Amino acid sequence: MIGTMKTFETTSELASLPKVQSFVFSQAEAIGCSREVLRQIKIAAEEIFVNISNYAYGNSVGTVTVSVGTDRAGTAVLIRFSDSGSPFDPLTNTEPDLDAPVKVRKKGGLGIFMVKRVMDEVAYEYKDGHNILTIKKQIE
Amino acid sequence: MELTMNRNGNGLYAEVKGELDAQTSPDLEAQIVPALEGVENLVLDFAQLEYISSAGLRVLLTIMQIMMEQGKLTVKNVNDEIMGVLDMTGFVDDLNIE
Repeated sequence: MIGTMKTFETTSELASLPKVQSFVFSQAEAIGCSREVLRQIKIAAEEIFVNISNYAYGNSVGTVTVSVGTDRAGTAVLIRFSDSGSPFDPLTNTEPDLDAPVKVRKKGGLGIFMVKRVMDEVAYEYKDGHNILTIKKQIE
Repeated sequence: MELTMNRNGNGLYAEVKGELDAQTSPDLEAQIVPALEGVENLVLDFAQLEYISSAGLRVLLTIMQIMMEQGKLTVKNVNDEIMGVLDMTGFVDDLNIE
């Protein structure tokens, strides 16, 4: 259930993060997302891109494709991240233990946890050699 | 990200401004951690902090762990957006926020 999507392609280096943020933000803004939704999208886009940047291509650099659009009804924004790295479903990661004492609290896992919390839907699929992560959020 | 620090005896007042994302958070860690040597009372002023992602939270956790050993940490002037992230991730329960 997807309408037209605008697509942006970049490298998986962390240095590409501002370009990814700028593309996602301008598209989501043009679609009419509220300020609160834009703020949540910014967090989700960073966490997903950084995850790809860190893990998808091991120590090498690959391509990341980011697409932004709406669902058919036009009431929700859809953002899709695609890479051709090793198959990896970040949604299967164990959730961080937020109640663990500060002294021994682990530092991993917070990013994807935040994506799940700020978005309405997060879906992963591996298709035609690509990891595809799609997030969905009501525009307001 | 911009960090302004004022040391007064064993107290440190640190203003963190701008955005704490995956690119800028390592800079905060590199600048503030060495400055915590001998600090027993740390105040983090977030009045001009506009954005924090998990990368920023990881540095905050590092600071919290250091200050647990050394003394007291107070976080001041947290805006609604940053508070939303601290709340969602359970950090509010472990921070002294004024």
